[in-house]
Amino acid sequence: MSLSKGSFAGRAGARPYGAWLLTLSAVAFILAAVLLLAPAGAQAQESPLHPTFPLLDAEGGNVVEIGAPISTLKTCGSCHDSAFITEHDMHAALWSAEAAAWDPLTYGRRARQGDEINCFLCHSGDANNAARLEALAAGEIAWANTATLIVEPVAALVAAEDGEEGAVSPEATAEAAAFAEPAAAGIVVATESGYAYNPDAFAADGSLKPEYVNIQDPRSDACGSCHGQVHMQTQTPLALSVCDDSQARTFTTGQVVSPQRISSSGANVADRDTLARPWDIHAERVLTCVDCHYSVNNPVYTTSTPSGDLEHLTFDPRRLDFGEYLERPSHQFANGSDGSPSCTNCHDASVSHGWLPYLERHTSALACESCHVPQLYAPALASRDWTVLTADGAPVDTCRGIDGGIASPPDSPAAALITGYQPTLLQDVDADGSSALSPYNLVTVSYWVAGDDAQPVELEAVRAAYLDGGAYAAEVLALFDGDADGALSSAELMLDSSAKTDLIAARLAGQGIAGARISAEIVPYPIHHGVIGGSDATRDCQTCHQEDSRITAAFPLGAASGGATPTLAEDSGVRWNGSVGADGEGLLTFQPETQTPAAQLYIFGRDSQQVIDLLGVLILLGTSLGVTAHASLRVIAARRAQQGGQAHHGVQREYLYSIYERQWHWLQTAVIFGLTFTGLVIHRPQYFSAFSFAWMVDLHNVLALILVINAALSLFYHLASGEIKQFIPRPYGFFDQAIQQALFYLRGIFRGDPHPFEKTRDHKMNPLQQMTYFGILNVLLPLQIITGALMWGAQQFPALTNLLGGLPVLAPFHTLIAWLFVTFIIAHVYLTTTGHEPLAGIKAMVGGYDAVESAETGAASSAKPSAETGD
Amino acid sequence: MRDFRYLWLIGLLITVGVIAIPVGLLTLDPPPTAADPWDHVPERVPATDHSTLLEGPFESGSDVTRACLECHENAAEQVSHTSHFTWLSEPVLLEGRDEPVQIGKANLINNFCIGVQSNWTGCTRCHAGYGWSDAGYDFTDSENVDCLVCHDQSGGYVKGTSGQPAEGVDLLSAAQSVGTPTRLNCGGCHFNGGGGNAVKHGDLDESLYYPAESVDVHMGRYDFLCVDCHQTEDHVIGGRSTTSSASEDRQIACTDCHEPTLHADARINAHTDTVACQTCHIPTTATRYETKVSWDWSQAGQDREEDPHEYLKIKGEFLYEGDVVPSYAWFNGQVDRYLLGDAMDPAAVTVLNPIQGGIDDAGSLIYPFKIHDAQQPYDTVFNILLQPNTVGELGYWTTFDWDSALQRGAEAAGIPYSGQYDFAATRMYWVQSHMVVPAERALTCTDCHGENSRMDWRALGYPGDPLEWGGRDLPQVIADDSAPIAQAATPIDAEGGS
Repeated sequence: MSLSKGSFAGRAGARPYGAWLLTLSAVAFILAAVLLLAPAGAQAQESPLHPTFPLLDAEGGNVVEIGAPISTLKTCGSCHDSAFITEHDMHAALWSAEAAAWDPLTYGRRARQGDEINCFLCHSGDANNAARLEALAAGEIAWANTATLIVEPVAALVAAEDGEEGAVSPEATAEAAAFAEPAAAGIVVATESGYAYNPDAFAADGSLKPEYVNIQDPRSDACGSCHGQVHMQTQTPLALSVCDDSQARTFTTGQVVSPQRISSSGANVADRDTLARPWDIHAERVLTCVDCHYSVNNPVYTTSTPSGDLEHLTFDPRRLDFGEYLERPSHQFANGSDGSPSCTNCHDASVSHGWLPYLERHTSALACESCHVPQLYAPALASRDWTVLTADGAPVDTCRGIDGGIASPPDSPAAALITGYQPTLLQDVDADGSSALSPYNLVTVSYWVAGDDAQPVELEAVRAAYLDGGAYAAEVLALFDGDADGALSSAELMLDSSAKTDLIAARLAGQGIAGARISAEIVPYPIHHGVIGGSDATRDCQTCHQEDSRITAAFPLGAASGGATPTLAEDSGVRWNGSVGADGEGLLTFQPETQTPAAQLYIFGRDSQQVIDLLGVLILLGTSLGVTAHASLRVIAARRAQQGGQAHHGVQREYLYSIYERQWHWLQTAVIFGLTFTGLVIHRPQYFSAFSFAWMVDLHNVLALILVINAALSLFYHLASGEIKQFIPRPYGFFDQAIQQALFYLRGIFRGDPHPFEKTRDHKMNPLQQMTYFGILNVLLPLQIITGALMWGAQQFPALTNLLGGLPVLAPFHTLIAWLFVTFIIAHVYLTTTGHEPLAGIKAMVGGYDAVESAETGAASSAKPSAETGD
Repeated sequence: MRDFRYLWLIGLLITVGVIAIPVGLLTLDPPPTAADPWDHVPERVPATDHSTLLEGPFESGSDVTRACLECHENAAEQVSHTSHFTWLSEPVLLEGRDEPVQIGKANLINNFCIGVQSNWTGCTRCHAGYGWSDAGYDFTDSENVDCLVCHDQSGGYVKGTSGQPAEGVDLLSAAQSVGTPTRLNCGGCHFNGGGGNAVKHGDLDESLYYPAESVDVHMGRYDFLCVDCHQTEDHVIGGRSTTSSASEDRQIACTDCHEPTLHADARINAHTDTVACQTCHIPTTATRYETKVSWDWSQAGQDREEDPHEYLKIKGEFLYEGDVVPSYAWFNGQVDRYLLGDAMDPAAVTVLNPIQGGIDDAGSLIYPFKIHDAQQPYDTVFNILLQPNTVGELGYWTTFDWDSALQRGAEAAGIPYSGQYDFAATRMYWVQSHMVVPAERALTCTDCHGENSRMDWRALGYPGDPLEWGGRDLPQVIADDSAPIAQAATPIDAEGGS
């Protein structure tokens, strides 16, 4: 795009027309530069629709004639209902007395400054917030709105541009400036004596000329001038705001709204080349701030029926028309800080999250931002210390996200390496009282308090404690200035000894403020912008579902003044699901927890009850040891028997297990193995990273479904066929028989004794088995099914699940039963080998026939004499 | 025992089935595996070492060709029918014409150096043959085929007048070096179209010899050769140009290898039935070298200060631009042609290769173009564009006499010349298909939508930004009289029609 080839200057003297050509091309270059480089907002642009209007003062007179400041209430109020707007305006409400809460960040309460609601600030295409702030700072409250209409002379910009270009002559610059100024000058110009109106901007009838009427919907940049860094231009690279407290939300959280790719912006972000994602997907998708934060009575966006919903009506056309809306736009903005769910107003997560198991559970426990703002790529405030003051009377800050940690604001913001930070997840409380984990930055704020009710000490008093006539008081400097260089660096501006704290407290006491002490609190700042699309969002289950879960990652905190342990701010819109602690190096951290009364979370793969796992392992090991010992003794006994030439008991084939029984058994076997394995992966995913966590969860559910159906069919079969009887211990003689069987396993089996009970088609179970199966099938299995179903129900019928203790109770219980099941399987499989030969039992369950000990060997008993594959 | 065996097998099958079927039906689908574009990239054949096979000596290019033909018997026959040799297409019926025509570099004019006829000795430096210096060239003589221009890997092979090897070229080492054509072989001519590096195409220049991936992802990141996409069979090289070849047979498309809906983002996939891949993936062209965007022949012949990028006495005035934001237009792949002798309107801009398509044509997509404008000679009596003889002792570049140059050119080209000439505005569209950047540098939404848009949506035939007004598939109930539905070949300047 460079129009200048840069060679004009070199050839200028060579031709008679050189100078003329030079000037012309310089003008062309400058104009092009201005067009390309000037922020779009600085170009006066005619409003396509807004009619021309006169600017009125508070008395309703034309300001051009009177020279008084503009009254927005009168000027805009001649068509728009400015009283209504003021009354409903969310921005105006922020400054009202009722809303004024102590804000440790700004060290104060917002006070209405007496200026009228400033329509121009948001609605003028080239509003000048800097001039407005200047007027407010100078105490020219009445002129603040008027000052907003000053347009910075473009000439200044041109001069700045030339300085770098160097090839353009001064005359050319002057000419360009003269050429550019009329188009760029605003309605109001700042003069040495104050403010004046540009007569060129007004028509003969006293109203603005059409080309000066630049009234429009608020541009995103306008919102950004107060709320944080918004950079909607695509041609000029974004220069990142680094720890700049004029960039509100960017300063406190690192949120940046821009369509630019991080990789192509001007920010010095670590690994920038790999970050092809935009700063904010919504900005990239051509949304502006007001597309989401629209005035709630804007008929374009309003979907609800104004006159109340009737079931049979899907749409009520009787609504505000545009004329009515333009007269009385409410200026209550949608999707604001009232905790209303904003993403779901436009997005239906169920359509785009088909890959995510337990979607509803995830979306009820997690705000969309938890996964869609996984990382902030701009620095954010970590601590603000008002207990020490810089020579300017400002607090001392530290920021996170620079060079990988928390650091003082860099001397050269442009050169700092920005590493960003991962926000912590707190329980964000919604209007309806529900809460979901949502990303936050935490800022440690320290300040002096005094009195019984611990009220913050006035800032002026703190300033007086440190400063004396604009410089540090001698005794302060003497104590704080460690390197004696006459200035206090950020390292020295620290209450790191009781001497320093005492000195300042004493100097406060000297002003009549007794008992001053340091108070430190942690203030959460929510994060809703800087959203990224699905392909860049957190997708890996194990980001959360494993030991090092992102949800419980310790969040480093900025230090509090004087080494105090800060408290968690109350009434901050969050439920604190964690506590302040210290990491290995003694630095403050916020440690989120899952199973707090506030959170009530159980994160599969991360959370477990150590006691239960320990118990499970012990039972399992104990059983395995027992089985091994028993088997070893049997082997030894069998060898002896062989040596002794002991005769085998006679055997005969008998059909023991019907086809259905065998099918039922082996299906259940496979399913239980599958459930055990998938359950283990879900329980401890970090040992099984080769398996997809999501698929394991899915598989577990499907296998459970098969298990339940199989169990139900089998129950039906056993009931219908009467086979159920076999599982029910008979009361008569039960204990004797059980003892007899137990003695067989403990003694007889080693001696080669016949099995005490005959195993027949109608009587397969010995009393011990009956007891065990009764326990397994009537206690463990139902419990496992019920706990499992309830855990599944955390998404389907959360009320019931929560009634029974929720996941934190159900999940460990489910785990315990799983341990018992595994234990049972080991014992069960082992006992199948206790028949007349080791594999006979298993073969019988495959083929249906078993060779059972024949009657003539004759251990008579009250039951049928006989054999047994115990299991 | 028999039924025992069968039964347990059946039981096993039932067990597997009862588990596998619900698992298959009820568990989440694994993410679909995208087709692998590498499946379409040809395997490179290792070059045979010819250094022991060819001993020379070679006195002329044709000597080398004869040696090649001893083994590669059909090669010359194959080459002699390709457009690299004939500079003509098979006969094609262009819309609005009665008879099929054979067109190509040999008989078309452009708005750079204008035309080949009468200028053979200069133009045929880039002919894949030897000795084409006049209309009577023998295209059937297989010894006229130039094997080395495409296969030389010594880097020392240079062609001169009439396509003969330049003086001092070591033919033996060139012949012994032969291998698969590399970017250097193709680029030698194609990067220098229009008389120098980067002049003509915009998307083809010497930065592609060894490009960074930010210049071209295929060549820069994956080390592609031209022939990896321009796949070649029997010496017929894939691809076509929209400025000379007429046949669409060998059209290459991004979608030959890539699925059009491969984007992870559904919103982007929704664009692919309206927007060509190139439109987003070639944000700008001429990224490293400026390309010529305008050529005013009427200023030629003056004794002014010369600068190859601004003014040359033999050629006139030029404008070059770098990092060019392309112009965008609907395009369905069809291109009409201005043929020598066609009537033109000197008051209007004559488009030499009118690209076809429009918003109402479902087969059209929005494509990026480099536009090249020119003032070039025409006959004020017959109202036809003229073709000057520029090369040679009697050509314009030597004599600076337009009248005789136009006379000689007209004779060679077989068009009438009244003796009266002036200069008329012409335009050519160069579709941009090379210099594809990686996805992470492709255009994003705000490049085309919203207030910083590079698209003139109304000029493209939309009532307004389709993001707000809807795409072309929707019934366009809101007619806008001030925005005529885009005519074929009315591309839109990226800067908003200026």
